[in-house]
Amino acid sequence: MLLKTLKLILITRYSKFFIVILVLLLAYNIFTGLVIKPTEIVYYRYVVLAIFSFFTLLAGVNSTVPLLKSDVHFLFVSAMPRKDLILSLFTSKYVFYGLSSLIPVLYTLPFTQTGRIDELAGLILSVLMTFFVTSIGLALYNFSIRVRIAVSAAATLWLISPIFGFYYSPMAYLFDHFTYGIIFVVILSAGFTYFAFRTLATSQIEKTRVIGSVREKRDREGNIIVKIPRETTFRNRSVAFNTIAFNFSRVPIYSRTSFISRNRSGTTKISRVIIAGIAISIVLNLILVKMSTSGSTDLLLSIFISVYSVMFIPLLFSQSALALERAWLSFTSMDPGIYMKYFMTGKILQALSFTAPISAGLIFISLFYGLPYMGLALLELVPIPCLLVVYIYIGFSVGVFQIRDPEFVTQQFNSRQFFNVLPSLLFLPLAAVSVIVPYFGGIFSAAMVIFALISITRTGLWRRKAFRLIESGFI
Amino acid sequence: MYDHDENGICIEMKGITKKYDAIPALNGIDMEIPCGARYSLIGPNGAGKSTTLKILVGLLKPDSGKVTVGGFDPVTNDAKRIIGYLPEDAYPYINLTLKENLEYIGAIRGVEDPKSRASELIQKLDLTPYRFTKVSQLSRGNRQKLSVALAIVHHPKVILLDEPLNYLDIPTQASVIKMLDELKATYLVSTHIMEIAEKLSRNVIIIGHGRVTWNGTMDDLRNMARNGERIEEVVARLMTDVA
Repeated sequence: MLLKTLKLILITRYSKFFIVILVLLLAYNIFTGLVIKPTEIVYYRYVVLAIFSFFTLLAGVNSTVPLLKSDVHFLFVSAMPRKDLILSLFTSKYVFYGLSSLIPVLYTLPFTQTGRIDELAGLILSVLMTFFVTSIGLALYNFSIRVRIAVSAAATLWLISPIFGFYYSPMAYLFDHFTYGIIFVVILSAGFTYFAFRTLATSQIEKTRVIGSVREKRDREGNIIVKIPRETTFRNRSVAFNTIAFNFSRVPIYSRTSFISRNRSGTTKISRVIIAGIAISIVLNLILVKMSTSGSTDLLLSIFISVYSVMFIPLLFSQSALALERAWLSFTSMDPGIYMKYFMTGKILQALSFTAPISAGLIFISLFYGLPYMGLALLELVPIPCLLVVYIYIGFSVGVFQIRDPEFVTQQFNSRQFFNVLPSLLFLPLAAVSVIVPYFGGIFSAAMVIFALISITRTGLWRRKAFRLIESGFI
Repeated sequence: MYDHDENGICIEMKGITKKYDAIPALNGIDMEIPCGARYSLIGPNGAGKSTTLKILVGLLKPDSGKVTVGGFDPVTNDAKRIIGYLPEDAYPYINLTLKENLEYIGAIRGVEDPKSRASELIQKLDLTPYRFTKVSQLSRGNRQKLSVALAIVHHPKVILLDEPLNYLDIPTQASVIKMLDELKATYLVSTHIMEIAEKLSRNVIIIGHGRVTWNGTMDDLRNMARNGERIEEVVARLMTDVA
């Protein structure tokens, strides 16, 4: 019964394409992990650490129980043992968060250790860490967004603390402090796994999560009489201003970030994105300063950051961009080509709001550590926001995922969506060269600005794309 | 160009064809709807009703044929200013409140005072208690009322509605019909429920297999009844005859 339930849960949450990709990556990384015996060990410790930190933050903030509407209608009312369902749901969550963090770690793990026994211990601890990453994504489900952010951020900081010489951390095992590593990894993974199963055992599909801030109106005794969401007011400005302001001020979240989930789609305010940009800028620049040797840039780390920025930032801001759009309202209010011009201007400004603080920090440290940080700063400031145009265009071409039912978002990563990632491959070498040769970065930035301007003003092209989108069922 | 003259033609389709990839949806639709008239578009599932409305509102381009609304090509901004559209199972912006939806769409449609217009529609449709509620938390009925309000926020002269009374209880249906009655506009209402067609229109266009198969008045349909047939049975017979 358990296997049947597990199979049902997995195939209703993941596309075959996604599972095949995971299995191939798993096989490849186990193979390379076993074969490669490198001598250089410094950087790959940081890769393992970065992967666990990233997935901890992602899973914790985005904590969701992977339940679908159909589970409630059919599985909850059937006579199947609840423990089978709970175990299957945990496994389905592990498939994304656990395996996604384990796969790159398998590849890099041999780099982190020197002897066979250490290797095995490191591997066991890394597997335990994947249970922690999965579990934090379930255990925080019942908490408010503030608590989720606070706990996830604290956990992430604790994970990265060995970089700063603080070894009372689970990740200490990567830095030759096995005892602390074993103690904290076991405590963390066991504790959070326990709470994850408790959450699954008590989860109720009816529970809804309200996203967005709420203003409460109280009477004289202090009792809440009405809850009023903080509203956006659309004043008598021009149509262009209102459309750009609307598309700039609300950043879609939750519609693509958690792959499997029973989650409400939502938006967050641009101010929160700016705060996130500032926080990342501070942490990133502290790490860069720490890693840079006196007076010289850490070039390899800069290239690493440039590559990841090009891969993830435009994807983050473009993947969900159209998911909450309503063609029956926006495309019937004005020419779809013109609407898309305003829409993309808003989205480019959104990405810029996130990357500008990072860029400002990099400009500051480039004064002390040299030009490559300036190249990286320029990359974050200009080409990356401009890249959104390419990503949105590709999104249009391969089909946009539209969220209609806000309560239950079934998200399956399919082969068509995979094409969204491909443009980044083209831009990766350009980004790397921009860091190595900052003057090239200047030319690349100018070219991207021209490209973006030409692209967003081609209303005929976007109009045709809009018609195609409607034909595919987008409304 | 647009003149709300009862003698003029407000909706015109001539030889409209449309295919989705290789699958034909419309096979030469012809229709003329005079300004101020109220028509229902009736047909079985998959007959092409929603595609017809999407072409009229400029969301889709026909493969061939000529279509004008108020004398304009539907894809132009001139046409968009006078058309109001409600799709079937409409979802407004789910993360905006009811009031924000009305104000935003009013603003981008160029309504002079979107705030007052939003308040007016909220009051008319008895939505005041829900004005600060996000669409994702509205009941289906209230969401449908909001969708109707969004379709008419800019005082359109040509209104295209796809199953507008879905999810509405009987008193709400009455209030929505009353509000639509007060607007001096041309209507084309797509539905497959005859009772709704009777409530909202006096003329009927029946389509099947992507073509207009019958065009006449409600009275014509009643007169075609044999041996005490109900109007639904007459329509069913007309649809079956075509098939």
